[in-house]
Amino acid sequence: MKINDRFTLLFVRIVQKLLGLRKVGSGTALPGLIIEKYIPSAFERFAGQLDTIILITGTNGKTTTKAIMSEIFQEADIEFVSNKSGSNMKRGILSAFLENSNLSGKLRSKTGIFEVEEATLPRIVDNLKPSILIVTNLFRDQLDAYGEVNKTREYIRDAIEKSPEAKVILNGDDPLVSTLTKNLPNETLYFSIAEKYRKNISYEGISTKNGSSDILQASKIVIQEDLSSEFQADDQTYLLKTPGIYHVYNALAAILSAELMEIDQAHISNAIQNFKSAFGRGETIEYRTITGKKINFKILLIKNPAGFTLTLDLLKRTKGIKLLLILNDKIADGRDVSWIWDSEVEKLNDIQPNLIITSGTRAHDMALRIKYSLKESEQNILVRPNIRRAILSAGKRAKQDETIYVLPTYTAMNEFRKLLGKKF
Amino acid sequence: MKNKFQLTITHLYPQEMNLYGDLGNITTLRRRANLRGIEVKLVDVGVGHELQPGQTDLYFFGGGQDKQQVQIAEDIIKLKKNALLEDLENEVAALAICGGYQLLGRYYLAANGERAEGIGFFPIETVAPGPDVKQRCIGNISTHLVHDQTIQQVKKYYDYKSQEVNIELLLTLVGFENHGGRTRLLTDENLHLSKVIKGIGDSEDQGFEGLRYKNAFGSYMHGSFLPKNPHVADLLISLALERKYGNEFKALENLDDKLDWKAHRKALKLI
Repeated sequence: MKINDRFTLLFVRIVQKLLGLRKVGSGTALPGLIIEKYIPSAFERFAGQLDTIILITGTNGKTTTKAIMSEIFQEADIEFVSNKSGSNMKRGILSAFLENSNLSGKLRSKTGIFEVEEATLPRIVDNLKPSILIVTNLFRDQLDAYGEVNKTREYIRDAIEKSPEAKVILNGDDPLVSTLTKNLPNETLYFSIAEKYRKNISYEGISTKNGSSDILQASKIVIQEDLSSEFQADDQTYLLKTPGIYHVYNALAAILSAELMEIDQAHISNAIQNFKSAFGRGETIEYRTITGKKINFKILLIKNPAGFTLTLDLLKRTKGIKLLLILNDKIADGRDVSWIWDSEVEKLNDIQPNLIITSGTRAHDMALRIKYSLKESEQNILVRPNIRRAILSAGKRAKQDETIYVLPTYTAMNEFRKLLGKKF
Repeated sequence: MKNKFQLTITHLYPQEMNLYGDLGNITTLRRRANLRGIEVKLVDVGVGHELQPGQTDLYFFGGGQDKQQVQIAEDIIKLKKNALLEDLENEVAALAICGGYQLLGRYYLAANGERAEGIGFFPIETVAPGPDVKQRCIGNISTHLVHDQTIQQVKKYYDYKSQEVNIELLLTLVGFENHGGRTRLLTDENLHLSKVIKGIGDSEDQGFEGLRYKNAFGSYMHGSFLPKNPHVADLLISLALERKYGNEFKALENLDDKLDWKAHRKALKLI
């Protein structure tokens, strides 16, 4: 490594430390940005030090899949480097490398687990050669960013074509995903859930019967009162606290990759049982109002119609709850909020919430969507675009120990968590 | 209130052409009719079904991805074109968004060079310049109506004063556009629906958005379009009912659209 490079690395590590001290969450990609500019070869040099690289892509579930895998790897005492949730472009991965490296640019870990944004994937696999590549699903998500979902699929197919050595783990129920390795030499494994549990999941395209025998299927899923899932796959019973059928998919993908990594079953089962939700994905935050009343906010991130519909479907089990829906239209959320009209918000009629507050930059759009979905159109919807005011409104109306269900889009979730004193 | 009016809404290609919340338009039409006691029958017509003329009061035709659009183009010519042309000529009300708008025109030339013939009802042609997402028109859009007949009818059929909406606001439209194709009008007749305030619309060099011919409206506005433009939703319902029931139909009852207009006003201010 050249003197200049060393100097840059030192400088960036200092920046990283400072960012850490100031708890600037969204600054995670900044160190990567600096390195990218001043040591363009750094990415390749870091990536080349890893023996095993696991990449996770797809529209929904990247963060949770990665988080479950991290839990399993920790349980099995395997050291690894991993990028922060949402920092899933090249710079975010570079930042993760930096944090994991010493000053001569040597990584501490030999294994890498990264979530990668779909369009970024084909651009990085030349350097970051995956041993395992996981594709969670392909839903309509941020169509304003890519134009069309077929385009997103092409990015991923491209990346797989460039990685003939990679073992590929695919969602066997999603027609756009299950066919990704067709006519390619890649060894492919599938995960799936039994048909009766996926009625509400609207995959794109026509499903064809999956002829492969390499399927790990959740044959039985029981949703518990606290919305956690107990499921069976390959004669093993797993308990997953993170609420939502879709997270069972994520757990299955993580189990398959752990098996490929030859991790003991006991470690896998324990890790899944101990897994606490990735932030914003079923995470509960305790909050005290100014009068000392304790309430809980349960955060269920929504990003696209598929996830929004499934989340509402899950909440049928909790009749009469209080709901706070926060719709932002920043770039990371998607500038186009049309997707709320593709979501089955009509499911609110099954939940019968006793309070609905909408918030965020597009609070009125969300309120209008809800107005059009409720049978009793008289029901009051509180519109509080400012998130702080929405929290106060919710807090005022909640009873001691009550749980308020918060459904925010991505940037809304970050803002919400920050207002409740959580760092990234 | 229950009345004798009934409305048949035909949704063309609901499986293939349903991008960007276009379903919200159906939700809105149905709900706004139901609240007036108008019975709504919704008919889905997809690939492989031959469309019969004289069966419907209102067509809705949404947008799709390039791939789907080229797929259905063949079907529309074979199984739908004649019935559609006959109905639309006979002033059946219609709303066509994005891909639907393009296919009511003469043809759509996709970014990859594939050409989809339209039914040729709208005198327009649409060409997508290239496959790059940067070449797409993506963003919030607001416009004001310039189509005279539409302006007069909106004033007539929508009781804007009771909604505390002034005339300037009444004549605006808001939505979100996301299209590669650039649409050009091929006639001197002024069929443009609206003039762009913010956004791109049909194409950069023209400054217009959407088109109206007879009772058929074409537009690039998603958003969804109708929820935040309740005056257009009511216009479509009114045109359909007037055509069907003649003088028996007078006017739609007022609904409480305060929230709808708040969302509309907010959308006008979006960048």
